[in-house]
Order: sequence, then structure tokens, then C-alpha cells
Amino acid sequence: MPTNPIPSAPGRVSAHAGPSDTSAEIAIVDRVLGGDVEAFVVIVERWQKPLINMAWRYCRDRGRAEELAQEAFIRAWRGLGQWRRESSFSTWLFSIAANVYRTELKRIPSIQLSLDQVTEPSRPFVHDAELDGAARDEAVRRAVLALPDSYREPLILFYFHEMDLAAAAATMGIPEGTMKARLSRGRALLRQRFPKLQDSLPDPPGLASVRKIETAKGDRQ
Amino acid sequence: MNEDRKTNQQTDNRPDSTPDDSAPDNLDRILLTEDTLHPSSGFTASVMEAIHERAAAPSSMSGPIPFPWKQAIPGIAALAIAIAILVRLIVTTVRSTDPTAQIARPIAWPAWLHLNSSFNSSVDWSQFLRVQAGPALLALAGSWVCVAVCRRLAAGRPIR
Repeated sequence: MPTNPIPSAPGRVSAHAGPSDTSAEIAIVDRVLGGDVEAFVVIVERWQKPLINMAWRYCRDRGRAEELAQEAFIRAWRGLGQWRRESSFSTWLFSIAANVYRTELKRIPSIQLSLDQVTEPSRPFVHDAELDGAARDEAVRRAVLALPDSYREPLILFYFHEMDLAAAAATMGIPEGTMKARLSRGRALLRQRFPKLQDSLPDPPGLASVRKIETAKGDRQ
Repeated sequence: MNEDRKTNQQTDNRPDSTPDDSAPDNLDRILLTEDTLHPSSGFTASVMEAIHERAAAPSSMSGPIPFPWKQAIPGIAALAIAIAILVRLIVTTVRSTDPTAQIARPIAWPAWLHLNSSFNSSVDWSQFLRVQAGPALLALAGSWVCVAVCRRLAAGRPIR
């Protein structure tokens, strides 16, 4: 877990902040509230990657993701005085970002298919199994965006927060029970759409790297 | 696009515990094994530029949006004139009405109120319409003018 307010691990998205992050951020927030606008750059640098990646999961469009993240930072800067210090800065920031992404994507939606239009590829590529798996994985990720509103966002946030139910619920501002119910329904819808996911598929590509990262995360903790 | 993979498996926080959700779950792995974007080189500068712009603008950090007095003044003036005319008409009407006439209570009460029928029958409806229709029509016209003026002023002006 990073202990520096400035990102120190390129390539990794840390959606969580430890106590030292919070104390560092309190100091930075105090500076910004005291009129030192330039101090906000530390917050931007620290949180740009998680916020952009979170936005990416909402729209799967890189340019739009950066626009949304920028808007989230501006909204956070404007509302900095409203951050109640008892909750962590990251929870507050992600909550603002989720609101911005939700609102902006409702105002100008990204191009989406309905869930019925998303099909499970039945070996569309014959080159090799890895390519097939990659295509399927991407189809599954895009299918999340085709879910009804009430199931889409819980799924996005749950996996963005690395399956941390409490963090996802806090970001959405809903009780954990509600989050759990919506996740179950969303996952059931995805499984209906992709029945082959159940057990017959081989490990998705990158599972080796997944395991490596799991180990790395274990080391971090 | 720079990308790498991130994921984690925390099976104790699984959203449901139905048999088909038992680990390992391909769905979890796919959704956890997500591409990671790296911010473009100018992202921080772009955000800070936007923030500096807003910081330089008046009342950017806090405070309510200032009331658009310039746009509102014609509407307020029209409303004030309409109210003044209406008040004058009411006063004139009241003064010109014979106090012995029943027109002092010129309201067509609904039947379900069960007011005495003698009251209704005693109302001079022609006089009632003459003294009330004018102000009512005038008020309607005034309202319409206000709405039209406001719409005209608002047309094509972006909200800031």
C-alpha cells in the first residue's frame, strides 16, 4: 500500500489509501483550503490513475475517461471544504467521482449496446486459444456496460475496488446489503449472457500475471 | 495504450454464495483482470490549468451563483406594473360597487359547499362578470407578457 501522497508504483492502480495517506492528504487539503491552489497538484498526481481507470470502467473510452476524471478533480477541488475528515479522503473522492461519472454519462451517454446485442463469441478466432479468450474477456467487460443502470455501477465499482464490498458500497453511498443484492443480480445476468463462463473455459489469458499480482498484493499487505 | 494487468481475489467478500459462485470464478477473474490506463502526459497540467481558471474567476471556490439582475429586471418591472394595475382595478371595483348589492361576495361557490341557494340566486351575474372579467383578463394578459419576455430573454443564452 502506498505511503506517499505521490504515486510511486507505476502500472498499479491503488484504490485504497492507508492512514499515512490520509494524514498527508489532510495537510494538503488544509493548504489548498488556505488558498494554495498549486498544492492541489499533489492530490491530482496521487489520484489521477485510479480516477482515470475508474472512469475507463464506466465508459471504456480513453479520451472520455480523462475528461470525466478531470471533471471529478474540479468537482473535488470545489467541494474540498465539504470533506468530513472522519471518512477517508479516498472514499470521499471516489464518491464524488462516481457521482460525476454517473451524471455526465447520463447527460452524454457513451455508445452502448443493449445486453441482448452482446453475444458470447463462439470461437470467432481460430488463431489460438489465447486470442479467443481475449476476445471473450473483452466481450464480457463490454457487456457490463450493457447491464441495466442499477446493476452496472455496483459491478464496476466492486471490481474496481478489487472485490471490496464495503468500499464499493461506500463509494455508491448505499448499504452493503443492497450492494450485495445488486451484484448478485448483475452477475447472474452476465452469466445468462455468457453461459460458457461457468466452468468449461480455460483460465483467461494473463492468469499467470494475475497470480503474480495477487502475490504482490499479499506482499503489500 | 500502456497497459498492465491488475487483479486480486478476495473470496470472503463475494457478493453471493450460490453454488455456481463458488471459487474460482471466471467472471471474477475477467472483470478483475482489467487493462490499466496510464494518464496522458499532459493530464495533470490540464487539470491544474482548469482549476487555476476557475480559481481566477470570481466566486469560484464557494458562494452562490449571483442572481442575474440584468436579465430579471424587465420581468420584475412588468410584474410590478401588472400588480399595480391589478391592485388599482380591485380598489376601483370595490369603491364603485354598491355596498348593498350582494356583489361584495362575488364568488360562484361550488355546489358541494352547500351554501344557501338564496345567496347564489341573489348575485347579479352580469355585474359580477363586468367587474371581475376585466381584471382577470388583464392579469392573464400580464402573465402571458411576463412569460413571453422571460422566454425571449432566456433564448440562446447559455447558463453560466
